[in-house]
Amino acid sequence: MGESVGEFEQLILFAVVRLDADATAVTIRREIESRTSRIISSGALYTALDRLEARGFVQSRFGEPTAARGGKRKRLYTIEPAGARALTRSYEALQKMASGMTARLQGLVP
Amino acid sequence: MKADPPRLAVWLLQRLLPADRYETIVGDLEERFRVDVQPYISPRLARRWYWRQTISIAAARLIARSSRPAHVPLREDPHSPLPQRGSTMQAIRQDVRYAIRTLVKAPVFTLIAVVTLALGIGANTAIFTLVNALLLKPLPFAQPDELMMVHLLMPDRAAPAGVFREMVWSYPKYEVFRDEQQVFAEHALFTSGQWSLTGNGEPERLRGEVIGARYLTTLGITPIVGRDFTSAEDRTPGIDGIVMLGHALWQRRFGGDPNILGQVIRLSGVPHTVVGILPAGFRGLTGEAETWVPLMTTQADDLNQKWSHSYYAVARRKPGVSDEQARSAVTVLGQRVDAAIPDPRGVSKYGAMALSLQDSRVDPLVRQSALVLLGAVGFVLLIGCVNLANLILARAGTRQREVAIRLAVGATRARLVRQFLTESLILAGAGAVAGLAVAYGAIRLAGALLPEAGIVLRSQTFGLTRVGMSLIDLDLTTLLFTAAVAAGTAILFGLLPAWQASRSDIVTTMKASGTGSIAPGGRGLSVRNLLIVGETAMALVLLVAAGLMLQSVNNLQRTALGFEPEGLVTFPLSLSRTQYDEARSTRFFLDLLDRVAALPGVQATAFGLCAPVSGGCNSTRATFPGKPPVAPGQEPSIGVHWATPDLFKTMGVQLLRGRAFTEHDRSGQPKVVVINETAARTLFAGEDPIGQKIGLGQGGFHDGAEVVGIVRDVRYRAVEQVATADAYIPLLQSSRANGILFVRSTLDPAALIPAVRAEIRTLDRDLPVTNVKTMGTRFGDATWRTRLSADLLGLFAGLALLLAAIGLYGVMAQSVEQRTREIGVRMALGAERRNIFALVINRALAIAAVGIVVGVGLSLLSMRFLETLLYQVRPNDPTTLGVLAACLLGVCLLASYIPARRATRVDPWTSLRAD
Repeated sequence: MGESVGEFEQLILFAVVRLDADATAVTIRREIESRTSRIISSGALYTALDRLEARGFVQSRFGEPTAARGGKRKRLYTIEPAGARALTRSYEALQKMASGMTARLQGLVP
Repeated sequence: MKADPPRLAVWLLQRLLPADRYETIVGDLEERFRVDVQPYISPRLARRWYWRQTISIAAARLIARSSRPAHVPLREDPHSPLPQRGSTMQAIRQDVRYAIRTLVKAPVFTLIAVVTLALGIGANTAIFTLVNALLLKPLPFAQPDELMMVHLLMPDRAAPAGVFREMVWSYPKYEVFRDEQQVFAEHALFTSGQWSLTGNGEPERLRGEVIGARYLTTLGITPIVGRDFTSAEDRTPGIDGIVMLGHALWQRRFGGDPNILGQVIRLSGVPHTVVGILPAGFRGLTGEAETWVPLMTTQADDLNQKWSHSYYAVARRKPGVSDEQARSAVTVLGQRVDAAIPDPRGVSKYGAMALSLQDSRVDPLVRQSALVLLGAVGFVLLIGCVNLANLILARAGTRQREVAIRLAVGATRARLVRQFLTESLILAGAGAVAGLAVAYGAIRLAGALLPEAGIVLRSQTFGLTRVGMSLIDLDLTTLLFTAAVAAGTAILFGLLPAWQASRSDIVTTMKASGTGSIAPGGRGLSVRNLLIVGETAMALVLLVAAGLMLQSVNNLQRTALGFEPEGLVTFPLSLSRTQYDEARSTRFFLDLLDRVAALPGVQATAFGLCAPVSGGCNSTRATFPGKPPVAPGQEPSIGVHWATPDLFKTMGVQLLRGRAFTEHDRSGQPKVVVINETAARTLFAGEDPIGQKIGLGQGGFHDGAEVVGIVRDVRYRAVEQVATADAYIPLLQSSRANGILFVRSTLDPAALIPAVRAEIRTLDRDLPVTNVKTMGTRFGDATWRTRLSADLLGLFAGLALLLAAIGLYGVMAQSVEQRTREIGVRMALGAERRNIFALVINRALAIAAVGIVVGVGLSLLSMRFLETLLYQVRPNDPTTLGVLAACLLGVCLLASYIPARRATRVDPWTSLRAD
């Protein structure tokens, strides 16, 4: 059985895929926060990104500096094949468990 | 106005992050700061945002750093609260990381907790260092538990027969002791001395000790430069002057000159050769010495006076001799001394006693004050812990869901308790570290506030208290104490909530409504009420203690001292006998008085011997020529004060009968004295003293002089001590080389003192003028123990009151919040707002009242420990108790006001609908 990723990391990886060439910590956060209405803590985000990179699921490289960043370079993230595999595996597993349950779940929430 | 990211936060990130990450992460923050945050909110809020991000990143980085897993476990989800299985070490690390994360997520609570702990632990540490230095720490001598003070004993004339007073030795009596004793390996005489250092720069008054040659050996101190006094220099009196200097003096005055040995300095005009320098920090047993001169520099005539008692004796027990044995041996030696040199009047039996140095360390009242303060500050910490426990219990209420899930997934109750305790320990640890900083600051502050050296001169403990004060420091013992207090505190405020929280009933909680509320009036609430009762009781005890001490201070300040302290300044002066003979010294003082009286703003000036409330003065025996002689040894004691005619006017002492001195009362004229009321009452029972003759054992007044006036009593010894019999003799009829210049003026002391110094310098350039004090300062010195205790107790009581009020507020606010539905129901059923208000207030008052009643009981029990520290106020003074209890009740009312108001604002419809 291959590797999988936790829920938070799935959100990050999906954001990286969606943002394509423009995936930085700032844009990833913005994407997740606007789509899911969840507040992301900086510490958690950077830690997760580091771990994903350590496991080989994403790769990072330096980008262009901008004036708004005080002349500091960005860090751009791209998804790796291993990361795409892990993301697919985790998401499909969740989908299989959730399959057909959405209606019943609605009924349990008061 | 464009703000910048806070530089401290940026620096912190730079320290914590590796270089490549730092650039990108700080760049991200800056980008968000400038684009998303700053344009929309105030600079202050923007900076706060930046700090929040920084803390989040820093905490995550620190946690990640602390664990170096070989691979990342699958379930490592930053948002999952589930604990992992694993080894104990890893479990503890996880507990710590989880705890830190939880605390960082609730910054306000964490801040309040750490600040409360820092203040409580810091105050305890500060007071502990005081107790440690004064009572516990070993004295800075070699094997200090072998050292003892040996005192002569003489019958206390002021007490019934059989009671003895400690007194000092004369040299011949010491010789008897020296030749006969068997139990001490080393011993030496010593006494304090003062000299004027002249010759190299500003004249300076130096304090020092006159010591036997074995003094340093007895204490186990060796000079760091040069040599100690030799036994050759301990044999015959009248040797040339030699001196050892203290390290600070050597640095300050002689620039640490390595060629100091062999140099000659002039002490009060007499040349002394420097033979040694003593280690830094050593100030002798008197605690303030900077120079040491051998006993044998005293002239033979003075030294061999059998009845000139001037010296203290310190001794070191032989190895193997116990404290008991030494003490009984000394008692026997005392009898031998008395047999060898008996009282010439054949009346009194003298004796001797030995007391270990440890027992002589500190005045019993100072010891008691220190212990009371330690207890008081412990109470404050206890109250702080109760508040924290309540705070955590309140938080625990909202974390019940989390607890329930974790229990359901298999965590043991013990594990949960451990988790919560870890949070408490981390809080306590942070509080302890911050507390050490608080303590350090408090100690530095206190060093500036503690009294000047001179006031403890006359107490039994002479210099040891001063030696103790010099030991105040944050050392290993203090750190261990702080750590122990922190651990104890963590258990106190952490255990109860931890235990409580882990006992949740799973099913009930899972079924609970969205707000996760506990059933109203549940068990948790009554525990908290009990804690508040305890807090209130302790707060009242502290308030009462502070109230009693403050009343004592007030009573001290209102005590009639017999003179007018306002506007009076004292200048102690001491003329060297080698330079000033009798006529010349009198001339000096009279000239000085003339010059000072002519200064603008000076209302009166005079010469006297001693300053009031400064430890007492000279005393001698009074005789009554013309009356049948009193039995020998029974002559009454009387104080003797040399005075110029204007002394009473200058000091503001009321003349009750007869007259004061005039310039006609000079040498060659009939001798006259003025006595005080107590002398008139006790020595001339029933008769009119005016016109009668009285003889004094000093000043050449043995043959008797006529009493010409009676003045009001002046308290020379202490504010609390009633005056004893005193007599004043004219300076013009008996010369004196040392005394006090009293000056009464309307000028500010800052203007007056330099002017008077200038006049003194005109008359004698080399005369040092030190210890110039206003009477106000002297009064402050005399009352320092009571005032310091009162101030500190007041501070602690205020803190306790504040904490108790906050605690009550917290509990009432929580209670209102939890009973929102109940209140809604009541209102819907017709209760008016004022009924709801009364409901809350009454509940608060009930809790407070129980606490106050318990507090009153505790106060009545415990205030008797304060009795000896109080002045003219009873420990169970009902007025104090009543007023403070009412005050506390009022504060509790105030604290519950806001929650009560909030309760009345509950909207019945929304509260009933929200389920």
